[in-house]
Amino acid sequence: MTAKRKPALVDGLIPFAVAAAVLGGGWQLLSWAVHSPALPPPLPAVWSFFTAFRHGMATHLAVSTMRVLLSIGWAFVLGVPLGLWLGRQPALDRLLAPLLYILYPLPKVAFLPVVIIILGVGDLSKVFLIGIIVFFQILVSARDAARAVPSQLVDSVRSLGASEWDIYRHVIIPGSLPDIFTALRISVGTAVSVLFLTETFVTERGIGYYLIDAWSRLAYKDLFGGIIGMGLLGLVLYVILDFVETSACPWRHL
Amino acid sequence: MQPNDAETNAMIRVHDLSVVYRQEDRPVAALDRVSFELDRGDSLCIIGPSGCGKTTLMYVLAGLLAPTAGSVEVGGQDPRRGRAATSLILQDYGLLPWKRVWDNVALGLQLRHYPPDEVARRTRTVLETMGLWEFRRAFPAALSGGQRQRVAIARSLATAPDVLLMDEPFSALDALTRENMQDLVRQIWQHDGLTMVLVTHSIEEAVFLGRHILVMSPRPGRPVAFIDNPEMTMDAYRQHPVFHQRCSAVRQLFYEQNGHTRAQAG
Repeated sequence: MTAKRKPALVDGLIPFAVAAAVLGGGWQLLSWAVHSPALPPPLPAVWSFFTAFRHGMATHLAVSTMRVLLSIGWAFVLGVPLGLWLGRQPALDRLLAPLLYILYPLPKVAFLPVVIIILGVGDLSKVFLIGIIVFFQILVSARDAARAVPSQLVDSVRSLGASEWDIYRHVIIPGSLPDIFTALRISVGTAVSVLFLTETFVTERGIGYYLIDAWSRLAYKDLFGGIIGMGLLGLVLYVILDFVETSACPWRHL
Repeated sequence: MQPNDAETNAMIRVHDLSVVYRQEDRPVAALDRVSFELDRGDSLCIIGPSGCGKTTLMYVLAGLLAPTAGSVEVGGQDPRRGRAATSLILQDYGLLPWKRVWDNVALGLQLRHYPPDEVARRTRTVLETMGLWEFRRAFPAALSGGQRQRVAIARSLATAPDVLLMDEPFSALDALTRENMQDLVRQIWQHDGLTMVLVTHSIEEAVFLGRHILVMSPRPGRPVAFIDNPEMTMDAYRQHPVFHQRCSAVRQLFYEQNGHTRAQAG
C-alpha cells in the first residue's frame, strides 16, 4: 500500500481520458454523418474553445460559475438545516408536507418574468431562481435523510447523556451527509441547466449568453466551444464535490 | 465509593410499572404492572418471547421513556432526570458508523463534558483493557461482530457506570464469540461491582449471567416467575450440573408460561 503512489494518480486520470475519447469519437462520427456546418467536428470546436477562452470566454465562465455557486450556496445554507430539522419533527412535517409537495415540483422557471420584475435583471434574479429550484431538492433530500437515520443510534447516543444539539452534531448531521452530497450532485446538474435558461434573457455576461450570442451569429464553432466550456464547468464542480465527499465521509470509502 | 444516595441496598426499584404506547393511533400495552427490586452489585436477566416489552423496560430504566403508570427508581432517583452512572448497550450495539473506534468510545465522556486530557486518558485505558487498542483508528464496519460488541462495552465502561443495562447484546454473534463475550461481561460485572440488567431470549445466557432470572409473559409483558440462581458465580459454571438443571427448569417454566409444550420446544 505504501509503494505505487504515482500510478494511483494515473489510475484516477484514466477514466477521464476514456470519457474524452468516447465523447470525442462519437461526436466525430456524428459530425461526419450529419455533415452540416451546424455540427462541426470536435477538434475545431476544442480549438475554438481555447482561442475563445483567451478572448473573453473566461470572464463569461467565471460569471456563470459565481452565479451557480451563490445559488447552490444559499439553497444549501437554508435547505440543509431546515430539512434536517423537519426530518426530526414528524408532526410539523406532516403539517408542511402538502405545501412542500405543491411547491417542489412546480416549474419555478415559469416565474422568471415575475422574478425579473421584482428582483431586476441583474444577478440577484438569476441567483434567486436557480437557488429556489435547488433549495427544494436539497430540503427534501435532507429531510428524508434525517428521517432515515436509525432511531437506535439516536437512542443510544441519548443514553450517553446527549443534548438535542449533540444528537444533531454526532448522529443526524453525519448520518445524513452522504445523502446531502447526492442532493448536491443533482443540484449541480439542475443549476447548470437553469443557469443557461436565465442567462438567455437580458444579460450580456455568462456562458449562456455566450452560447446564444454564438448561435445568433451562426458561429457554430464558437457555439460548441461554449458548450465545451459549460461541460467543463459541470465537470469541475462534480470533481470538487467528489473530493470533498471522500474526505468528509471517510467511513463510506473503506 | 457510593456517597449517601440510598438508605437501603436496592439500586433499582420498579413498582407497578405499566407502559402503553401508541402505534398507528391505537394504544398498545407493552408492560403490565411489573415490579421488582435489584440490589447494588446484583445481576438480573430478563427473559421472554419477542414483543414482551423487554426493550421497553430497558428504555424506561435508561430514562429514555416515561412510565405510563407506576414508579421507577435507579440509584434513588427518577431515571428520566438523566443518570450519568447508567450505561445502556442496545441490540445492534448503537455504535456510530461514522466514528472511528476511538471516537465512539470517547463519545460518552465528551458528551458528559470531561476535560479533553481526561477523555484521552480514560479512552486509552479502556481500549487497552478491552484489547481494542490496535483497532482504535478503525471504523465499526471494518470490525467483526465480536469486536464491535467489545467497542460497545468499552464505550459503556469508559464513563465508569455503576448500572449496566444490556438489551440482547450478543444476539448477533456466533456461538463461540457469544460465550467469550458472556465470560467477559461476567468478569467485568464481578470485578467492577456493577449492578447489571440484561435482556435476552437465550435461556443459557440468562442462567449464565443472571443471579436472578425474571421470566416475562407475551405482550403485554408481565412477570410470571422469578428464579434465584445463586450458583452462577461458580467457576466453570457452564460445565456444572447445576447449570444444566437450572436451564431445564427455566426452559420448562418459559414454555409453560408461553403456551408451548416441551415437545414443541424440543
